[in-house]
Amino acid sequence: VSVTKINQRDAINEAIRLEMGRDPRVICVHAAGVESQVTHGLDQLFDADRVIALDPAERTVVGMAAGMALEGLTPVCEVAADELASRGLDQLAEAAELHQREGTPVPMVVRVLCGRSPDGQPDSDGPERWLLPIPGLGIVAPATASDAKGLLTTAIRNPGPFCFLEQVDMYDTVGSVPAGGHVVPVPEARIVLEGTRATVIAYGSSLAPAVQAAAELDAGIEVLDLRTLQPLDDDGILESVCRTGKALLVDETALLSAVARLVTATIWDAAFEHLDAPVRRVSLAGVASDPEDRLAARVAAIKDGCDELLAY
Amino acid sequence: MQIVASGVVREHAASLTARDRIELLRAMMLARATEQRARTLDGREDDAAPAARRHREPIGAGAAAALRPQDRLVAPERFLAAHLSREEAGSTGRFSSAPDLVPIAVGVAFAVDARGSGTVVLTLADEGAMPSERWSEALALATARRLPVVLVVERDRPMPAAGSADQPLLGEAVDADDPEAVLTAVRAAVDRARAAKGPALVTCVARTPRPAKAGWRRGTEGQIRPTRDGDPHDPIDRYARRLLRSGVPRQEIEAALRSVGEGVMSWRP
Repeated sequence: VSVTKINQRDAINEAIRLEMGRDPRVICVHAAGVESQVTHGLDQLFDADRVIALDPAERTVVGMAAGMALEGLTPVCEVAADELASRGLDQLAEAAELHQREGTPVPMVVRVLCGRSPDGQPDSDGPERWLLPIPGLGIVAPATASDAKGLLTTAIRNPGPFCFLEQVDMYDTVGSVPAGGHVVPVPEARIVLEGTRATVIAYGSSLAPAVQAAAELDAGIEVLDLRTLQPLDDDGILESVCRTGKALLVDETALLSAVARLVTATIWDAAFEHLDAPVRRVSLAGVASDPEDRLAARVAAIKDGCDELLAY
Repeated sequence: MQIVASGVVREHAASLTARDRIELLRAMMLARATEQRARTLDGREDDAAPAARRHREPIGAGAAAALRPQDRLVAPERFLAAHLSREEAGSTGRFSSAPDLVPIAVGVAFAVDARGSGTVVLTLADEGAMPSERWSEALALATARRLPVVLVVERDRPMPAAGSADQPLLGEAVDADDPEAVLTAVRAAVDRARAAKGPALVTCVARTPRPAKAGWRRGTEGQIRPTRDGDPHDPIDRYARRLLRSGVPRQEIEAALRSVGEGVMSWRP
């Protein structure tokens, strides 16, 4: 498979473009007036009935996308995380429940724009906190350009609704991305760095500082990228934690975030007897917001957490 | 947005056959019996709440009867008669909130309109949905794109004499207790939507007072019948008497009601 170096923004655009070319049911939907950084150019490649600007649809774009999905289309729509609650979260929940309870196909993807603004301030306290409790809703959180393309492709091809957590502050992150159709199985966590003494579990934008911290410590720390938040790759998480005996969760949101609680519960339930230390958590929510210092501060916070865990 | 008012629909469709009318009665009775059976199985036989929802039986039965098999019904499950009437054609009704449902129905209409299939989407709601911004926004989009969607709204009281720009509904509407009036109005709206003339709105106003207590009770196993002191405004009772007056044989009416009662009351989970 040939590989190209592109940034996440282009990787997401490529996934949508390829899927729209592959399947005529895939359409791109957005509220009119919303300037997307990602879907630019699609309206030049596809007919107007494939790239649809709904006007007005500020509060209803997700609900309308759900209706289109019920009728056999596969809409891919875009909503900012801090606006999702007022723009159709409950309609998304109903669609997910319909899919889970009755097996009705509701193939739709909501690209949830989240992450830190250019000045380093979080624009949302993590949409996963209110997305995770929704039964039947798939949630993916890519950390690399390759996974952004592969996970979005997988989400589009899934018969149920998916939320794609799109970190806007990672748009310019460049990575090697397989050309052509590229899918990432869901759920499948990925070991980014192998180790034997502890497992650091991260996802999305928390992965890069986690990998850097583990590498700098050079203390046999394994780093696991969740990639999929719902459903969780329980087997992948437990395999790693049972092998290392210690787990540290790194999370962009508050300490008691839904993801941290879910992963912690999974480990306590199934791997308690394999643990050599309590499950620890590090939140990056309160770490320095200055762009110049942010990465170093985040890496330092994770290293502190690792040191404490290894010393237990 | 096309307004379908009672001036149009007070003249009931002469084309309705005795079979059509019995089917309307049967659909209402099926919803009533199903709800009653569910309450019995759930140990809530004394729950009086269903009496307040009886207007939804003629609304649901009449509205669904206006659809063709290829049409779509997207409605809250509380309009049970509509869903049960569409048993073979299918419907979407798990959605609990009517304001949330309207955008979904408009999305379905968008998709069927893109296919050019001549399919119409019917959605039902109560007036509680109307103040929602989602309601307004979805209807505005449906109107702008002339989507084939018909909205049927249940209201507790007549509309004001004149609507506002945000809620362009006029005063007159069909009688919510009259399934034939609902059917006739919705059929006109559906025909209009199918002819690519855009969305339409039918308001169903409950003109009769709501009973304080349920006027129907379960008799011996397999039977459902009105109590002697039953509610005189009960839409099923009223419609059955009306069919009798119009010459529909009593035996046919009783047979239809009996078959529904026996079928539903014998069902066990």
